[in-house]
Amino acid sequence: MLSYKTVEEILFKLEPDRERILVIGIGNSARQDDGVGWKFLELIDALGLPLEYREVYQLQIEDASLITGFDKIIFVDSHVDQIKGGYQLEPVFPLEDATWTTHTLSPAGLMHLAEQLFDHTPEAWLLAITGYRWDLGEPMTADAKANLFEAFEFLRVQLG
Amino acid sequence: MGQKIIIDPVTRVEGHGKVTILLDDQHRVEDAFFHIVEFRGFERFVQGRPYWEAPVLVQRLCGICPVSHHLAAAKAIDQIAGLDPKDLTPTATKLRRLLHYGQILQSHALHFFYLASPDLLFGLDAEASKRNVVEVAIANKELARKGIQMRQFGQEIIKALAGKRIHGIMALPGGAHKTLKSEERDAFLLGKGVPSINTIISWLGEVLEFIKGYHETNASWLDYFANYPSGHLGMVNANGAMELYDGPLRAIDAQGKETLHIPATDYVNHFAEEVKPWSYLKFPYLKALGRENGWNRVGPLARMNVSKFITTPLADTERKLFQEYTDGKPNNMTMHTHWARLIEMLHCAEVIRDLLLDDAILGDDLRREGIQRQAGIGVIEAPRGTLIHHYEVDDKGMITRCNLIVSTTHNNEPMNRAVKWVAENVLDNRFEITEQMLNQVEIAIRAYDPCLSCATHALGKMPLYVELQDRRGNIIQTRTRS
Repeated sequence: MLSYKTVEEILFKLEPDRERILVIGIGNSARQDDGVGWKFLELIDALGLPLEYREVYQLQIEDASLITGFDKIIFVDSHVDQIKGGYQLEPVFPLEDATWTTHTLSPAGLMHLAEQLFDHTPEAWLLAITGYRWDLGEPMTADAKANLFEAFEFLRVQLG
Repeated sequence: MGQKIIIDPVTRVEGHGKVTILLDDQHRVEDAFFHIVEFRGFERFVQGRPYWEAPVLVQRLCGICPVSHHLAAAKAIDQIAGLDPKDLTPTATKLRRLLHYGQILQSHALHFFYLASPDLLFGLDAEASKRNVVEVAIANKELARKGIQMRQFGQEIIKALAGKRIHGIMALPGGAHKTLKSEERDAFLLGKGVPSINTIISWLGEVLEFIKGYHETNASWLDYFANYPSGHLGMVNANGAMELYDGPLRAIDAQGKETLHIPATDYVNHFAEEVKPWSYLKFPYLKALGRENGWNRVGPLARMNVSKFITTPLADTERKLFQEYTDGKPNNMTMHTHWARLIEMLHCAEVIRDLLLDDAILGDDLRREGIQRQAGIGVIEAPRGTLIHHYEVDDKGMITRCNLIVSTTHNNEPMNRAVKWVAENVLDNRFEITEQMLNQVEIAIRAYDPCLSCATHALGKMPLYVELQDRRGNIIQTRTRS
């Protein structure tokens, strides 16, 4: 079977020997598929991948300071949309967005805050993974797990 | 024709709420409600789970104040494990206090520097697009940077004690999971990776000078806006000083007369909760005073009002100035909550410094054991106010009943009063409802720093819109904000 790569996947490069890379897993493992971001980090840890990682419930203001210490950021989050292939990689650029509840910053809004306060924004990517159910205390769905493994395998291959 | 205006949701507030303002045929305010429309059902979720899991499970209530829920549950679970607060080792108690004061410091920092500062820096009538965190950062980078660093300091305290910033595990039934290493302590004392605790204290002195100066030039609206009489509830120590971790509960009425002074674990005999059909959030009140008169504000302003003094010198000096402004009488000025919050931050920083200098926090005597009981009640002062966790268990230690009264629930009636005040004083008798006017409703609510996903046990996304209805429910106008 032929496989294809999106433009973003072709442009996405990881060079842990030459750059500091931070993976931020966003979510809540107590809410079914909302936990894929955290589960992604567990896989990084289990396989000992050469990446730094941070588990967050949501992005908050202090993360603007955190990301300035890195060359590349990968935000991993669950997504309610049915993404073809189960996951999607897209670049994140600083954007003054209209996030009204600032207990929860968007990745683009966080980048903008870092740019304004610290005059530095790392290269950033969002790895969105399709989830299906969000109930309290229930296990992750099998379909979300499958998407998670596909997304993780994509990242692992980039590391060689 | 009578109209109903709905603002949904309230911006820069965790979770979601909705404001309804009913206008009569002459466009005068008939009534106003701040109502909650989602429910997560966490109290039922923990039923059937082993009691020792509660401090971990309740952290999932929300990502904003997981430490507060963790500690309140831990205090309740201590009792089920057969231990009262005095039975814990000094090291465990001091480590828990350090965690708690670090949590309040970082939570208050977020609220003052990022959620409330748009209201303060840009005033009541600023356009909506100005009122967000990025605009604050652009307008005052130094303030924004210090806010982040103060928050980071508190977060790093949490991380050092609980293993991670959010949903870490520090407290165990009867004690604490881990102690603090000397190198971790030194980092906070000397400023390695974070500003030193003395720097934090110094910065807070500067910020308090800023708020006092700001008040001098803006007293006309800070004193007037959403000023209404209320009761006040908070924890004190045995001598009547402000206490945030463990002590009796004290309440006063709007004139300062004491209406409650009880051991916190007696709450069930003195509080009742009313349910209203238009809100999932209950309305707690003191039984002795009844539903109409027994409601209380909680949080920084209330704590300042119920406390006779503060145990740390710099914060107590600031408290005296704060109380002199009202001649020692209860302060019912809602916007002064921000001032009170800064005094609490200074108090927290002073307590953190004192705890860091206490070698007991490096000890390894962390846990005690007791004989299992059937129930436990844990009460603490969370950043937003009095937080109550109450659990009952069966003979096997499985939770059979759980009741949580969170800070925002206590503030339910006060927030409704604040909304009504704005409606009557700002919206009343005007046909055109402007964006600036609607924002004043939100400013009044935001002063309470409500954490609605916690208070309503809700998570979700709702559209932001304004809806006008007549008395028969007919929609006259809708307005969407993005």
